[in-house]
Amino acid sequence: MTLMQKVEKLVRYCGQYQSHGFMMDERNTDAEFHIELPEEKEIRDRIDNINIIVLTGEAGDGKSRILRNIGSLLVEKGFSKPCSDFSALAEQDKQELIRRLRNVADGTSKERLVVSANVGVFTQAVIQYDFGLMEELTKEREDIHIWNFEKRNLAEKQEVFYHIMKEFLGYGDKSEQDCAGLSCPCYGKCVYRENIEKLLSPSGLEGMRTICNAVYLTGGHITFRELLSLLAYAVTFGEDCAERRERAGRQEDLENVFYYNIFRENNDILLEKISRMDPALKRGEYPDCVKTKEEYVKYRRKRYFEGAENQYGMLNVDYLPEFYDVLEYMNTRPFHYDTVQDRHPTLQMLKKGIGRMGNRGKSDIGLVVTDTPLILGNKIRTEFMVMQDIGMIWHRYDIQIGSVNQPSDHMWNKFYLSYLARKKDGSRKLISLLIDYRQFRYLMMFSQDYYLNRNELTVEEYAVHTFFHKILEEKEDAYDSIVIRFDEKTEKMCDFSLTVHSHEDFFTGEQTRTVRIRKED
Amino acid sequence: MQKDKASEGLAAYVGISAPETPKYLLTNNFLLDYFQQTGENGKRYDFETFAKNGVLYTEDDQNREKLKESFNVFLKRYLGTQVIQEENKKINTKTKHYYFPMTQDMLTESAPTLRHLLFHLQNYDKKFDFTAMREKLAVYVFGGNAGLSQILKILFQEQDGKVKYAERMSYDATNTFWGKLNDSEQTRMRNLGRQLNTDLDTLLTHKYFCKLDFYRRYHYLSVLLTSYVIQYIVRRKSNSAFLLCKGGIQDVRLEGNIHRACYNNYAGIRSLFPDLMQTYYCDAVRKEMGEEEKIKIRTEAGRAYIKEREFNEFAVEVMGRKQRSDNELEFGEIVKAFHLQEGEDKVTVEEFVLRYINLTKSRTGSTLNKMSSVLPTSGKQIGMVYPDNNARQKYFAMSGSLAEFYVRLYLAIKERKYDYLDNFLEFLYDRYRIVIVKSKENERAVKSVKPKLSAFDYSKNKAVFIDTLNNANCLIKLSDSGYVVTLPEEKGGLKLV
Repeated sequence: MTLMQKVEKLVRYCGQYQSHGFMMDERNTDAEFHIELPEEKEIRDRIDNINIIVLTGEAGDGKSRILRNIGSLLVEKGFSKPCSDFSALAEQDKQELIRRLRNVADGTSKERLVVSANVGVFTQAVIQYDFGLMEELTKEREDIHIWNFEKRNLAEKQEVFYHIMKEFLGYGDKSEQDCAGLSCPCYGKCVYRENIEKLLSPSGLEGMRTICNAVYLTGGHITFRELLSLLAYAVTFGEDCAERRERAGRQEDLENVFYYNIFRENNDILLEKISRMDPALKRGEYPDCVKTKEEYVKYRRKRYFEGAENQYGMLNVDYLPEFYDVLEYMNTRPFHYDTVQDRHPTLQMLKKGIGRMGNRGKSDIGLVVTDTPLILGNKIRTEFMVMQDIGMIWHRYDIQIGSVNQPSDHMWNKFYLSYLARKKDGSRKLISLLIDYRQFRYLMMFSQDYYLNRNELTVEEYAVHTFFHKILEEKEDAYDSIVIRFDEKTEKMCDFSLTVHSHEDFFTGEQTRTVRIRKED
Repeated sequence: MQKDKASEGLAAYVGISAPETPKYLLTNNFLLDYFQQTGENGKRYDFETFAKNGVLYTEDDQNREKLKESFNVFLKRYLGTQVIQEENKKINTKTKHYYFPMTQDMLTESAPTLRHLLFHLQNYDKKFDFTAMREKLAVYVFGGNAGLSQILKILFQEQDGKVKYAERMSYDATNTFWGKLNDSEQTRMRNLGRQLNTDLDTLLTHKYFCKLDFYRRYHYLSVLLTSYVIQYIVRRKSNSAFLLCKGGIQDVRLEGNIHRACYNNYAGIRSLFPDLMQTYYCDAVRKEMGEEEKIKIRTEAGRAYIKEREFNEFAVEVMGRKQRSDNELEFGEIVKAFHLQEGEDKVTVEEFVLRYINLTKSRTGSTLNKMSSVLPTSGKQIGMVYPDNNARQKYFAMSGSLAEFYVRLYLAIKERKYDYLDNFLEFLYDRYRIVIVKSKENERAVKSVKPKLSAFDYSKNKAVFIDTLNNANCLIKLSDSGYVVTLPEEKGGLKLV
């Protein structure tokens, strides 16, 4: 394929970005571009042991594509005709399929089923027709496998991501003979060519991967189709050769179509997200030759793609390097860390943030459980002394009590802070606080004294509050001792504690309980 | 139940006399139908009370005064006194002290104006089991030691946990307005009463509510009871009345048509009060007039007379106006309102009533004003009517805390940890006539919405409601098109595909 042919194809992938004119989907195929996604490989490897395959995700995640690719294998292995679009089924057919899934899950049917569905529509149908099936499907059974592409991060594995980029942007014929024949004014200084070369260079590949990874880490999801659109857009900016030649002929400045301007403002949802990460929006170092704002923008964007060592740090996303660092830490053995003993600096800060969220103004890093009734406001807070410095663990998102299996090598964009509750019957239960990027950022801000002025609890505060509340419910004698702290107090006031005391009469054996009040610092 | 103002005259006909605020006082009055008032009205609790009883002590004499001051500030807040006073500044605190009833002794009656409404609704349900409800309420309100309850119960020396029950009052609707409702209204009220009892039963027994600490249990009970005051007004309005609710309190996406439609819907519901008032007066005047079709008003020597009775006397005896010297209607006002000439004038009953309402309605503290204010006041109390200031143009909107309450109640009724958002929206309409989006079920009803709303308007409202639920931490987004509602405490551990 020549450069010109490549550009023509990319523009159609990009197709004004949003129209997805030539996207590979249920209707269009691109015979020259073939990638085996990790999920496809996993299905091929495990197919003998699976009776139910559910592929869920957003449109463009590649579900149909995988089904198409493994169609003959499914027939060979005795699977029933795949349901390639659950959303398109009539209500009664959805109900019937749910019934068949239930029968296979119960072992009353020997059928082997494959369903491809939008996650929302599928969940709705399961809730409506067989609520209990959801529990069965999410038990992580050997014979049921659900691939939820919304949890997938295409940028997670370097080799997979690089392979997609190289396969998608690469072209064979470098001679540019087509262009020479057209006496193109860009001949010899073609921006398309430079964009492809730069993007396929080691720093370009990693730059794009970091952007996609950042979207995932901050709670977003890029579908396969969106990734291809994004790459096509980074090369062409939606402009084909003819338009470009015309512009070049008019001596227009082509600066805005260089690959690093992928950060420029755009109305598309994904591109808008990326534009907010623009390294130029962040204050950073620059050489003396940079004099104007425009030069600074160009310098920072180029620098990001061409040799910055800390690309995560250059992106304009609060605490992204710290979050990434913690997630990598959670991904290494033993996958869980004691909150008291562990000395990871970011986790220490998080702990401080949690402490400050419930206990504003105090600087110690002990985890104190606060439980102030919401209807009373938070000017007078209640803390439970018995819970100070209780043992908790930070741990990977997918490890559970007693899980002996090696966790998958997937790097999640969230992790847990958990308290291990032991019940009277000897059983153990984890009470967990999910820490995703939003929660992480909020806690980090608290740890650095960014107090937010608001009337109600935020979602993040609510989550911490609920977490504490659940711990207290499990803890015996948790309510025997409390500390009352005032946000505002006069000179005549002080924080104090109330502690329950039980007395037994020496002679009669009668039990009485009283409350001791004591000044607290 | 104490004989109250709402059991007579116009208030009895409407079923409502005045708001009962804050919502916690309505709850306390409601509880007094089931439990005796064992505490003293004027009892004030403070550091010295408990120190004298020997249940509170300190070894730190040096800081005793500071501890005393701080403890009293804490107590005022945590026993609910301050919250109740902040929400109702007019409340009499000289002779009575109001608390959250953490113990039975703290249960104090306030002027009951709405309690009879809940009493009637509950009793109208033929299957209502008073004794069972009383026992469940006792466990729900006074039971449990979670949070601060344990320490406070020790301070109040309420360690035996014995509750003194009130006896059930006999109920006979025959001679009340409830017995005079037409068949259709009776069915509506009976259904609403049954629904209230079912909801109460769920709230009092389901772990999603009863495992919470006292403050949250009490808060949810108060929200449920107050929400039924609004439900009563809606059901009384008409069989097809509904609450068109903005998906959030304030959002730029909901300016324009949705705002106007919600405002109009609110105004429509509120018009129940003048409508009922007019019907009530017309009936009363017709009864008085007997065969006569027109009312003769005679003026003589600076006074107006109807059927040989002075106008104010007539107003007191027939229209149920309060007899007070400072409440008398002046002759000049009467002449102006009824366009009276010297001698005798005749007006139809309807005209007379309309002019009479016009003459009296604008007065501060008028019956109509008091009754009508039940809707905004109760709505404000539970986070359903906004803006929560004195602005006249109000509308229904769903606050985060109310949305969370309804999600909790819905999941408790359904015995589920989570459910699909659309099912929840359907439930809101089916059970509470709350319209957030247009659906098959409410399609006919919402035809009356003015200005007419487009599908895009409703989808904007839904999007805002989704944000409200998300901010209340009870929503999980599945994909662009799918949402699941759940409890905030379950959200982190929920496993979906």
